[in-house]
Amino acid sequence: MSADTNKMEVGCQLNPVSKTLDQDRMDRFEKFVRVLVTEGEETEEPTTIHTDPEKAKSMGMERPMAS
Amino acid sequence: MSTQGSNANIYDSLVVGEQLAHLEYIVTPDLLEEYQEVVGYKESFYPHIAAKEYIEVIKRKHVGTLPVISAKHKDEYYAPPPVGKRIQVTGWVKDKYERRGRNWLVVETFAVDEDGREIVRSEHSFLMGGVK
Repeated sequence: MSADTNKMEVGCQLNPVSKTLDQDRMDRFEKFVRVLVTEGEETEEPTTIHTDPEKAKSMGMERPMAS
Repeated sequence: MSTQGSNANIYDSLVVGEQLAHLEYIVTPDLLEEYQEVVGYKESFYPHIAAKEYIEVIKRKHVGTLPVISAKHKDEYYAPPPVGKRIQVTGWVKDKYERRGRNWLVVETFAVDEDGREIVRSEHSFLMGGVK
């Protein structure tokens, strides 16, 4: 998907984008934070409101939400 | 790193202007390819959003709990992070304030590559304590 920004004018209507998220995709997205873990200093993978139903409920949400 | 107990709320110990942790990472070809597949956009080049630099700079310095909901995220993009080059991130506490009985935290991060090229500057606002 790409757009020729040179042909865009202020106020032009952009094409809508629709995506379906599921927990697996959200879990995989959250794993990218591990790129920041220094080799040799690995820690347990954290649970977050994006991956853990209980954590999400503790923060007032019905279910995990995408970040 | 803070000396507070592991159950202490980190928010209380953060000071406006405080320098947070320094992060470094490398975007490998495999990582970028996986990121593009996960977000469903093959032309995306900024996996820092998934790496959440803005929260990691806090957690790497302070021990404790930080129950937050992201409320606002503003980025200024300068150049995509070059694949294979080390990306260095610094962060600081930009603001803390109370509004309508809730505590808010604003964290700013700035990333450059190993040659000093500016990559991205981010400002992230957090609502403490979750949805009520």
